[in-house]
Amino acid sequence: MLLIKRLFFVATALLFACTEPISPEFEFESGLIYVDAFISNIPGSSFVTVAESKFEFDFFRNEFLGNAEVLLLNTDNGLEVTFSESEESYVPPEDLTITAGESWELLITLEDGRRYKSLPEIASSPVPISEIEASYDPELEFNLDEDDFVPGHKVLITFDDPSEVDNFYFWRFRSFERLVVCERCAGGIFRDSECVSFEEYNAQNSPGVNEDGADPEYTYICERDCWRIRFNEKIEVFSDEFANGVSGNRLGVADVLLYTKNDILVEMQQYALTAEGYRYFRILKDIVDNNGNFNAPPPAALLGNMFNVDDGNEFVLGRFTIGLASTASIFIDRTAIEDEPLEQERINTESSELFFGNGLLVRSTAPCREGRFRTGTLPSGWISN
Amino acid sequence: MNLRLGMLLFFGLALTLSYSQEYQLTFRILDGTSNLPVKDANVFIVPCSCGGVSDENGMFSINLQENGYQATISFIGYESTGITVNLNKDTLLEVKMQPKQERLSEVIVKAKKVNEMITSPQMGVLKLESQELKKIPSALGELDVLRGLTLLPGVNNTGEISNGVSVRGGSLDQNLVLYDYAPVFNPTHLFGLFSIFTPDVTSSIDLYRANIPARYGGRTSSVLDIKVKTPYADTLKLSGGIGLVSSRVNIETPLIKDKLTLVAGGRAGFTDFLLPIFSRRLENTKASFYDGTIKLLYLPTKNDQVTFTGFYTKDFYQLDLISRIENIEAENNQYDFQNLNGTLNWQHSFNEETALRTILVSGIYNADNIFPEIDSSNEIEFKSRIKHFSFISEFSKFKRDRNFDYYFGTQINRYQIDPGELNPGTATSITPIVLPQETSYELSGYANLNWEPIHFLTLSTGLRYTYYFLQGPYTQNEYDDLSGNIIGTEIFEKGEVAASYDGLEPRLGASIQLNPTISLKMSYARLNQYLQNIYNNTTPLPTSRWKTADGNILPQMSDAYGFGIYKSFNENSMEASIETYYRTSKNNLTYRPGADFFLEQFVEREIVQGPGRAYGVELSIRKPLGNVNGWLNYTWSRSQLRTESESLSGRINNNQWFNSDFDRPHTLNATLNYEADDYNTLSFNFVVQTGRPLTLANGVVELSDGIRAPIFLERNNSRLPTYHRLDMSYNIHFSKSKKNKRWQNDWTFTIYNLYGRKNPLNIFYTQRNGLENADVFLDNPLGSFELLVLNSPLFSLTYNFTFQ
Repeated sequence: MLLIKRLFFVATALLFACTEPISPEFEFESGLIYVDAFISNIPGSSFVTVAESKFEFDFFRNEFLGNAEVLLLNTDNGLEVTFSESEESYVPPEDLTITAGESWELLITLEDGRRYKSLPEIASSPVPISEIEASYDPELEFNLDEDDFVPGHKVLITFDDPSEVDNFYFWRFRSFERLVVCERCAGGIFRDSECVSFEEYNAQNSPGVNEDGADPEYTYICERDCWRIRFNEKIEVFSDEFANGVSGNRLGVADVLLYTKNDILVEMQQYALTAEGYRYFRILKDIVDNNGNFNAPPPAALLGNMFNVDDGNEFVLGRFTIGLASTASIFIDRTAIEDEPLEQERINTESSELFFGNGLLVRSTAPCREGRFRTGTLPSGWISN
Repeated sequence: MNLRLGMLLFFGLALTLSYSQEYQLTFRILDGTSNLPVKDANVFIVPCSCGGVSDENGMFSINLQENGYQATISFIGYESTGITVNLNKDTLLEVKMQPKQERLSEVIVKAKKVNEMITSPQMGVLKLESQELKKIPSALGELDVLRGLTLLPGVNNTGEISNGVSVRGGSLDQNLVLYDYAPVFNPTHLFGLFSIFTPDVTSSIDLYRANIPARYGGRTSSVLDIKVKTPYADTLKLSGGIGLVSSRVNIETPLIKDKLTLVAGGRAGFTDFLLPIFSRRLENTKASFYDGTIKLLYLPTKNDQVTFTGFYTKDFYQLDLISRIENIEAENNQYDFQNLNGTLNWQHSFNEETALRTILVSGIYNADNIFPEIDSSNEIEFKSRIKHFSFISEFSKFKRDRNFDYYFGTQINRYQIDPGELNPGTATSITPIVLPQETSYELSGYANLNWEPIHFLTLSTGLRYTYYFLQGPYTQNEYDDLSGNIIGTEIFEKGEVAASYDGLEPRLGASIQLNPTISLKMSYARLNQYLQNIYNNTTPLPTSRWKTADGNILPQMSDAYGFGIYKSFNENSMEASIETYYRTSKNNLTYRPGADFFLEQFVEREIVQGPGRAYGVELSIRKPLGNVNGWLNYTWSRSQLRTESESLSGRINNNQWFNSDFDRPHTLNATLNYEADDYNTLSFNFVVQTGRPLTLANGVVELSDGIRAPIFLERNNSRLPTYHRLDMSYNIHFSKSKKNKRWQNDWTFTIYNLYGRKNPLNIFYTQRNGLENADVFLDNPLGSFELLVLNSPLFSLTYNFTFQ
């Protein structure tokens, strides 16, 4: 319901407003501790990161604080779960199970001895998604960079809000699109699992590349089935304060922009938050999504439930959140859409003229490298045409 | 020792200056046609370079030394009258003023309150005449009270979009805005672009900033007292104008000769057709606004005068940009705001020196948001309203022979606030919400004395006492100081006093006239505020919540001190002044980080109260006379707030002083009018001021889903770029070129923001979108945009006419 007010502001802004890009300014500060801790029942989505801001030589970065001791404590039964460090985050053991109603605390001891702790966080019961659908809108949202409306699908969900308790919702999604081009090399070619510049290639190979006839960019088709993963670009939260016990009826919870016209599978994750967790993510939404208009809510500090055990005056940013989730997926066929997509997928494969004397050196494919934004594993719910 | 020396000098000077024989010179100024008294007529006397303004009985008195004098009496719509008098005894002069037949609407009252700056004990009062207002170049050709005020020293706003004005660093809701005694809660159209006051019927605009007269109370910063003209009409007069944004019409006519007269003005704005010009996004947007004022004057007897003022405004907007409202599928969004005020004013004059004024004010302010559901006739409505009622009774006496006047009175205000109601209609996706009503009373008694003990010293002393109470039913929570958790709840039944406060508010002013051209003034005022507008934006919206003081939200209080030096030059053809002020305040409201007030019953959880301080120096040079006239103001000022919260979440800038949204260290504005002849007037405004405080991020973090979020630990740690703007208007008057002298007209051509300065209203961060704007955003983790209201000059043309 909060959105009513925010949209009002947007409407105000659009009465006469225009916007122009400017170089961003900051008042960077060093030494700010940021804890991003999210524990969920969705496999692979639980993590804790601890970072400290550094501003040196006009360069700002958040330095991951490794070698910390990260512990999850069940305040009901005293169970302790130790996290292990992995790829600049701390992850729980795979067998960690969180049950609705349990109370947990997060304890972090940094390598230098500084100790941080969270207030107890109670796991709220997830509410199942009963229906999911998608609605196409050629003017889905206004894009400042494009200075125009951009097309896309609005994902709408329906769920039955339990009336006996206050419920707070938080949505994320992952989308999967079949990837055609797995690699792009600008000013070079793809060899040995990486883009190599023409100079580097010629230094190591003979016959080499005819640089005079080279194109600015070459693309490489995926060797096997591969899907691009995108994530939500906005923060979506909802409180049932004004809708307690009534159905969430076709609630728009995600904007899936038309980056390409390839078919897309959207996996919605509906998390249940505490009231404090909802407030934190609502503030986050304000400073990320709702700040660009005449009456934007002024910025607020991202203070959650973490504190320094030994220094009550230290501002500790971030939050420890438990979000148990239900999920639902929808497959969207976008082939019939006539609007232009936001990304133009230009394919330019190597030609035999690129190489001196030997067209057999031409390569046109690249592997599907697994990662956060790409997978070769068939997503659950994918429909092959 | 120094004190004694000062007193000796003071009394020595007093003795010297008060030595000569004085007589009283009194003017009774009447309309030459109706014989009705003329209020606010200007009296200017030479060689003393003194004068003043006639009161409601058309009377003006002054004590002068024995001498020969020349007096000039002038008033808008009348021919100026000159009188020569040899003053060697107390003298009463009756002056009958003849109405002007030509150029009535364009008469510029050059001699208005001449020398008042030097002689008046009132300090910090700014006056803006409606005729002066007409000359000021304005956005889209709209005459605008609030925008005109921002050209005066110490008055500011939040930019092109501002739902009110900030006076001497105070917040917008710390100004009491009165329109013929009725409070106005939302003074602007189009979300803050224009003032709502019907331009053609406005007679005077007084802004009190320092020793606010005791008859006013309830706000801690200033009082903006706008008066509607009293219809002293004996013939029909019709005027109006057609502009780009709005058109207006005004009628002034007698209904029963010498008994009942009427003035009525209305303005309507239909800007729908303009909006697509600004942006294709606005092609289905609708925006319209109206305001109308009617004032009736009834003269039942020679000593009684009854007026009724009715004021109505309405704004309606529809925007189709809303594709989704949580749990509601609405096609568009509609906004509907209305003011409806009525003022009944009965003045009985016992004699030429004493009068009793009794006033009843009643009004209602509605602010609704409407969400029409898609494929349905159902509308979901958010409603909020304020009903107010006031009773004022004031006795005033002017003692001519003893050089003092006084008044005392009582005032009862009742506010009934419905803070919010959500009515889903037939929609089942949301539940209805009704926030509890708040009913509060302010019972005040006041007295004010202006006294001139010796002819160069004028004192103004006032005292106001207010007893405030919030009446049940009311639910009040008690909170833990540190955690903010509710630790107790008290429920008050209907009629019970849920919270009460009282306070004495002394008001003091002194003026020492060192010679006919120089005076010093000092002032002090204490003010309490029991009703406030709470919002977590730089400017409140029409729907922003008004909240009365209760057990948790304490009344605001301010103590303001002022000192000024005033000097006139060349027989008042130029004036200069320097005023300095210092104001401390407590219980200022500011929002907690991340506050959300929408349909929140216990808003105290989202608010922090703390002390404030504002101080500054205002320099002003005015040239009111001559073909080239205008003013130049420079203000140096600061406005800061502080929290005193124990909990980290309630601290703003870690409880250190921080700049308020209205902190503008440097402001310079200038207005220049060139009246080439009776037909052509060219006017310019120039404004330059320090940019509004802005909050820059102290860091950036990346969330797990790749979204980058700016981190803010401080509030208002930077500023927008310097604001500056030049406006121009050109007025051509055609009255004498017409054969029919009863029909006059003029054209006004305005260019607002002449050189197309791009003054940002806000700057905000965005996510980086690939390589878009990479040449601007460089290697920064976030993008950034500035929000502009205007990025080019704004042209407008307005046609005005008068028929009489």
